[in-house]
Amino acid sequence: MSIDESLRAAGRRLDAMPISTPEPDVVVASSVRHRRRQRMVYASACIVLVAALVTVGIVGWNGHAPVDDRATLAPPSTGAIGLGSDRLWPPQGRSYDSASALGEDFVAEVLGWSGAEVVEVARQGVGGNVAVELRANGPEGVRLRLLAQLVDGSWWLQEVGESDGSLGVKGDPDGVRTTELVASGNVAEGVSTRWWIVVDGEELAPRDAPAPVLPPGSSSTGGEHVFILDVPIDDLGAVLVVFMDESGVVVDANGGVF
Amino acid sequence: MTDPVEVDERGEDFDAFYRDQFPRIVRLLYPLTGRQGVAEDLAQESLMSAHQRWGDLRTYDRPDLWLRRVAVNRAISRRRRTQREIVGHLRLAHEPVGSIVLSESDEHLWGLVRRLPRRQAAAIVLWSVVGHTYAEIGEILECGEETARTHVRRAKSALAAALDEEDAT
Repeated sequence: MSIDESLRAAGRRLDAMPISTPEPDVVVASSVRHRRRQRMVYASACIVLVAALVTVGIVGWNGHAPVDDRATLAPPSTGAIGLGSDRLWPPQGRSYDSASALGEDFVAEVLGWSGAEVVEVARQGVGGNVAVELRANGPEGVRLRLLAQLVDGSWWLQEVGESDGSLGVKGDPDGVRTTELVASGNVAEGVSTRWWIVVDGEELAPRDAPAPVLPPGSSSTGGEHVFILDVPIDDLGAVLVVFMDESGVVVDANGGVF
Repeated sequence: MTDPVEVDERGEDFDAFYRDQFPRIVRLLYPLTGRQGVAEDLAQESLMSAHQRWGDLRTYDRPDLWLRRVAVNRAISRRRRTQREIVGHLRLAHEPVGSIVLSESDEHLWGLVRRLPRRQAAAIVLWSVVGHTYAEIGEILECGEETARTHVRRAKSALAAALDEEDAT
């Protein structure tokens, strides 16, 4: 029997299995509770945001320097992530000997953002399940999805976030797919991207991001290209930094939603 | 306590959708999770999301494809989590026997499917269990039709190779 026939036959046998269906009232009740919980979470977030803004205002009133590199990187809720060249990261003037050093600095940067409570920072070797995992608290059920079309016409999906309320960026656990990112010529010209914010599976805001940005000075990172993709959506700021070597292979990635 | 107004807004057509889709989603997710209890949990979570957006979803031509996308994504996320959570193993030990009882060879085949890269696994299950077209698989997995076809083809090749290797040994 061919593999096609084996799979189809196994599928038919599985499809014939009886499944008892719970009453829909159970799901409806859970759905309503979930919606109420979400409202409470958003209301709490608003209260925290107002408190943070008041705090920032008081600090500024007391004469502290209001703007530095970190401030320009703050997410929309506490400042702004824009796509202006003055807000690209790393800021102009910084250089790194390696992507690793750059990544560590990025994590340190994120740790300094108010509202970003980093739960876990794990680092594994390239090609492992997780290149860099940065988990931060976020609204329940929020995920970020990045879809990139490659120069060969195929699509590459990067999912960010977990439905349990934690958020993170992961390297592709399959490992193999990263090799499909190999592109000839200028990767920045060959890759287009689209971002979604996904809440409980619902794509809230599909939008085309500008072409991945190759910030000035990226050649100083040991020959590795650094793409910085950021997008403000409603009250959330999302940023993903993808490190690629000169052949276009993703060697590292990190970021988060705040 | 449920909110009667919100329940009434969704009406009987959601109930019909729910009753039709729940068993289908469980059967879809079983090969991806390997556990009926987990598949049922994920099916309920996915349908809960559908309920929350039923006002829009009911106008879709194929709300079932949206539901499958959500369910598959949840299964993939779940799979990633359970890979690093011992809790999952503890739960397995206490999970009641479900109504899905497959032959040893079928369970083995689905076990091999779960070892595939996750999108290939999802694609081959959508193709074999549900009988979706490549265009539908592409819509569910949010990729092009050709990419979906490639996922299925690679999955078949990998499964055939694994089975051949087992036969040889």
